[in-house]
Amino acid sequence: MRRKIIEFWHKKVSIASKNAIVGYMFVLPWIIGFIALVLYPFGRIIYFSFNNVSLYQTTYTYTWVGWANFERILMQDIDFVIEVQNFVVRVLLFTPVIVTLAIVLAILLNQNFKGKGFFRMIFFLPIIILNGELLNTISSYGGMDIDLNRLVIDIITTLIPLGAVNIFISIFELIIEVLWYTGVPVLIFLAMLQKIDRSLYEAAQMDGANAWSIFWKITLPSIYPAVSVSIVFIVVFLANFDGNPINALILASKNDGARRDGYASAMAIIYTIIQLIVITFLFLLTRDRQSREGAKA
Amino acid sequence: MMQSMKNRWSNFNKNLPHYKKIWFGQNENKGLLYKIGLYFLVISFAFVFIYPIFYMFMISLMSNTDLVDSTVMWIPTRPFWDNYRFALRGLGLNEMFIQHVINTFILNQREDINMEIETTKLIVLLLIGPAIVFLGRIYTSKTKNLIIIAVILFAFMMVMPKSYVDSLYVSGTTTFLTVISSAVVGYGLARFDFKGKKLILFLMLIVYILPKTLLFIPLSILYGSLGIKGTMFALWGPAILGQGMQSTFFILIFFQFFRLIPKQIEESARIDGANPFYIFVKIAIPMALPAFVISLTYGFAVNWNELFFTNVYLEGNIKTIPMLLQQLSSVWGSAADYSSGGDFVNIDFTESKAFAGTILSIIPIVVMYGFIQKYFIESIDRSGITGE
Repeated sequence: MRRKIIEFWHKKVSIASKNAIVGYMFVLPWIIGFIALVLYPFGRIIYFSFNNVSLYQTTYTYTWVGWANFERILMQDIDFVIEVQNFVVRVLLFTPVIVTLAIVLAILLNQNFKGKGFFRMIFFLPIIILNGELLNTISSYGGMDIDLNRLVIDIITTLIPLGAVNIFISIFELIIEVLWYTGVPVLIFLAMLQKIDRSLYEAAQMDGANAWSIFWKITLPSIYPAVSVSIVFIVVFLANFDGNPINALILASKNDGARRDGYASAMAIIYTIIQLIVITFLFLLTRDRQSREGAKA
Repeated sequence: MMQSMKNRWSNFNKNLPHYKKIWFGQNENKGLLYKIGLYFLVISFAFVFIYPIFYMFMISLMSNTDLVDSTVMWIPTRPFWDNYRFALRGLGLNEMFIQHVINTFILNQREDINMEIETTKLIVLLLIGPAIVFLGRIYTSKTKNLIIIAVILFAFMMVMPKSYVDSLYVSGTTTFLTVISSAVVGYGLARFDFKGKKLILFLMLIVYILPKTLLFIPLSILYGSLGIKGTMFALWGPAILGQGMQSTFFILIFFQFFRLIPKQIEESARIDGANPFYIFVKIAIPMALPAFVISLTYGFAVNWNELFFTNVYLEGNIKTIPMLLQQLSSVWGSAADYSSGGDFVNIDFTESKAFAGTILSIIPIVVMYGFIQKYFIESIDRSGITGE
């Protein structure tokens, strides 16, 4: 039998389909994982979300309730809706700032100067140490906001009305948090920057272009394709980050006697849909610009 | 007098290009002004980056009296090391791993722990040494060096504090399995032509975008019915099947790397009679070393810092450092030694205690990063991760 199979494999199977079979063998773990750990649970969670799930000792009982879970989340209870609003606003505000800062930092780190390795180490440190609990501890005890010197604030407030200043101060209070999120985007942009052809800069300098126009005409268009990639990364990161209160809320709802798994499942589904919308929106926004630039060039 | 002024002025005029060159630079040399600006920016950013850590460290050395003293801003009146002493106990860092093993298996002094899990952990940790030697022998013939590395690593783990070893065990094994499966899948996608490849890549991106809260409810019920909930297999399973944390990210990195290997190398190996698995292990993996460095480093950090999945799936049977940090304030009462003399006031839980715990929680990973960061950054330089 075994010999027959081997013979069959060597004689009858063409090289192309051999290739394909071996390829499937390599990808097989992922396919199994996708069916067992994504597709199947996905079907289950949709079923859960229309049910009232109750756990008695070790047996689960499901009672069909239709859209009641969704109605309760969106119409009656207010905690989830508010958290989702906060999340969307946060993502829409943070993402452009993170991307901008990441580009600035990547350009700084791409320069040649002494002690570059040291500064790189500092800038990439948050990738390694950042977790929800850490950020939570530091920020709840005031370690995440640098005190702007009182004198500086006084001087500014005499010049500009207080309301406008307050916005800047509150943005400044978030600066550390935002900077700590830039780690991986900086890596992505840095990798893009290093791919740019040196001769492009030399040619521009020969033609008498200054640093400013070189940045806008060469550097930025070259790294622009990475913008949408980093945006997807940032939104996914912010959504999955342990400091995100929605995750805690869903987990708490699952264990809450009045809500249970069905309610939490419905929450998770709504949250997923909203996140997909946000990502698609931001992705298309940046993608669109890129293709337009491509059309111009 | 007038003459000398004039002289100076003409001197200055004569030297103007020179001064200009110093300040504004010329051609390749960028000039002093540029350098000052650059250093100013880089240093101020770096300051903002490490300000919280510096702040944390300073506060963590203060006693509670210093905290309320408005004259103490940065420097504590005297370093109050008891914060660290009690935080060590609160985080379960006060006993060595070997002590823990002796207490559990030989003296049977512990009743509050799950024996099955402890046994699995010990077996896996004992297997790490042989695994290093076995896997290392594929790539190098210096068996002696490998044995030395394995022994040193084992001895080091035995004398490390218990919670660090637990955390290392959880994140290390999970990361290893995630990276291996990502490499296998990435290789399959990069080097073979088959139907549905585009679809698989598309589905991967969708999986990557889905929030991790979406599937944990059915998955924990599934793991419960399989009997692996509360054990490490609940984390290892998805890791092997390419659904671990950041798996998609790593698969794409490997995909990019393996695509760059020239076809000729593979073909010549195939003509020599090597099978695809052999080619993958012997030829492809050594060529993708930077991808391994990147994904092992980043994956380790992600798994080390993970709180959500470890909380849900491990059910507290194994406590990682972030989980212990979460409950530090509630166990403080039993960890702190109120009878150690001095004032009770200084022993109560405050931010200096929380910060001491936080500092202790990041020490191992920062030390590891210090060793590895050179290779990490080099690998990134060489890879150009863009994940199109």
